[in-house]
Amino acid sequence: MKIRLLKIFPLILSCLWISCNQAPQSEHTGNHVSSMNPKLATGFRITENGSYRVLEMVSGDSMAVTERFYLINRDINLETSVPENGKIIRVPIKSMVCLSATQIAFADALGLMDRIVGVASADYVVSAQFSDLIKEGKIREIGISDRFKLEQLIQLSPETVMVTMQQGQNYETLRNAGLTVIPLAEHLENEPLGRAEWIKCFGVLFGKEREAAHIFDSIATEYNRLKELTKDVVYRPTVLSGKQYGGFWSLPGGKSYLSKMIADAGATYIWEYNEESGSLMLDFETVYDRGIDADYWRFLVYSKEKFTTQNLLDEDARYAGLKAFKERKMLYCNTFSTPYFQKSPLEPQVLLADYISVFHPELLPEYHRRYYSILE
Amino acid sequence: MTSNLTYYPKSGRNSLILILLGLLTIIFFIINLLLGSVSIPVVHVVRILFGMEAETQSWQAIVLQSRLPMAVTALLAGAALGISGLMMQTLFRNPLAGPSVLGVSAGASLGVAVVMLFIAVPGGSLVAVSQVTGRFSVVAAAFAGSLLVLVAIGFLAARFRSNTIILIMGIMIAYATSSLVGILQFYSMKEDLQAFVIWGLGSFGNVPLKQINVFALLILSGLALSAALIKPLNLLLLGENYAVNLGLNTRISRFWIIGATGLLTATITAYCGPIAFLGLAVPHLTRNLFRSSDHRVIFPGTLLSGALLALVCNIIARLPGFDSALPINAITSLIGAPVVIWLIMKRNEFKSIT
Repeated sequence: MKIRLLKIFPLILSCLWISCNQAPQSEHTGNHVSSMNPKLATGFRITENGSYRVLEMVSGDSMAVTERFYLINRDINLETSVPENGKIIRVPIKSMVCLSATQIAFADALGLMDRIVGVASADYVVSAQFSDLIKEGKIREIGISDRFKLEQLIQLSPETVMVTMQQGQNYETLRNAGLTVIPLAEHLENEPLGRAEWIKCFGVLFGKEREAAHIFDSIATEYNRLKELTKDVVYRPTVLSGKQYGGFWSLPGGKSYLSKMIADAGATYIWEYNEESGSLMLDFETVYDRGIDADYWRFLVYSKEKFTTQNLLDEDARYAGLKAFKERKMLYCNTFSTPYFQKSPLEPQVLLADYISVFHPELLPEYHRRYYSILE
Repeated sequence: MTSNLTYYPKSGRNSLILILLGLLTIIFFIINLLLGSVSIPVVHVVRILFGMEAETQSWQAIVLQSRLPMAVTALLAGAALGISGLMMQTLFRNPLAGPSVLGVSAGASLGVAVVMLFIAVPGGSLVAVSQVTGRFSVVAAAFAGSLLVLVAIGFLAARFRSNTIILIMGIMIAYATSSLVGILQFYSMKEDLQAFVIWGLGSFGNVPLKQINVFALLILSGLALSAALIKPLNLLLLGENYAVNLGLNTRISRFWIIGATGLLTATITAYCGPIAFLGLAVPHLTRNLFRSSDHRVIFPGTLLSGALLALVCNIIARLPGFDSALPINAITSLIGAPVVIWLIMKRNEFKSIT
């Protein structure tokens, strides 16, 4: 036993040595942090090297690099020597396919609609311009949810395909077809402003650095101004989130985007103490017991007609027992009539204002909510 | 094998087991009301059950609107699943038959998949889907799907004499509907899929208090119909030819057996999702327990042990004391499979099924 361990020991040591040596290698190339590097978003990093930029997608607590792109200006010839541990993208990118609606909203904000050649679904509600481009056939529909029509996609020959980063999904078919896949993970950001900051990633890819930085700064300024309003509120109402399904109540963790935003709006999410950033699947009883006294109840609905309390009771009559239900302090966002999934990541300041106007109406008089409504 | 059908040599022992099973079922029904992820003192649960004012409103709602309907649903569904499995195993003379062999639950799954995956629209989410479909339309869709399959099976049953053919047809229909579900799943959004997956994992907590009487009525009438079939079921144990010689109209009894099983399975799948394994395992456990295959004994036996097992699984799935819970199907199969394996190894033979 001892002998065996002795044999393995140097091996472990050498493994450690290698891993220690490997980690800093990415920063060892003499790059410096770009001014476009995000301050709050944690899913990507941007460094510069004079002749090119490096865009790295990172994930997890270890901040492991999952993807590395060398962004070289179109006008510079390829001789610029870049390391081989990443893909080369010529910027500004001229054409792309967007497989998620949020990406279209980012492109829209930067005035990049003319560079989109294909999208996952033509049904996305983003802007009038988007709908027109679809109608004119300038933007093609590729098919939703990873089941894209591969051949049509290849035929469009976009310079890049923007995809949503997903665990266990490598978009191998796209890569094998020779397409440049850029996985974006704005939905994994837990800081309310972190999601919006992904606009900087679009900025460096499409030569819209200044616009992107400007947009983000104005979003951040507005968000922080609103957040400042609630700094001294004495009354912080408690908030329950989500609905039950099949005996389980799906709700965001305490370190999630939603939890932080509710805190910034001067309220307390009832699972705030929880350490998870992802979503929780809890037993109905647990959530009901804790949520019954919550002052407010926030949830999403999908309804073509006006959503009513009766709809809610049809789903589950037990909701009638909740204090927020009895006092009609329910705020809901209808994802059919609002672009919640498409645009809200880029508008945290609007979401925040919506929340503040519900929890502390005196702070934002005359405000008209854009995403949320109160269920009468 | 026929010796088991000659009059009760062990009737004293059997009644004792039946009484014991009945008591255990009552005890576990009560435990289902007492335990949950929220701990409510026993005294308060009792007070609430006797209609007295509860300490907090949430406790009252949890006991009366969550635990009570869940326990009743588990009780009825467990009993009904056991009986459906028993009838299928006897009719098809196949130890592996269960309520799902007729393809009825696959039909229900197809109905639900259509509502959840096909009708739901891009950009939805789990919460949105649960609301767009609503409890009622899921139940309606499941019923529609299973009815469709049931009619097809009924048609085949009227046409073909051989039970084996019907068994194979049922399994084939199940495969075909499952593949349709697969296609729907393939083309649907992640979020819709999650709702469907949750439905597919089963739950006894889906029957609201208001609908529990409808559920109970359907299950009880299915069980009553099954109880009326004890005699033909016993005759079928002898083999179809013997049964015919003894004056049994196999076609008519087969029609009723399939009808009763279809009603029970469709109801359970519609309200609880496809509950795995209980229907297959409970009849085996009961036969082993009573060492008999006489339906006069194992019918009430299966009824009680099915209810008991479902109640036990429901407690385990809800992980008393924890904030979370497990899907019921994870528990029924995890607990059920080793039990059946152990029984088989112990008996060293699959006793008295065929």
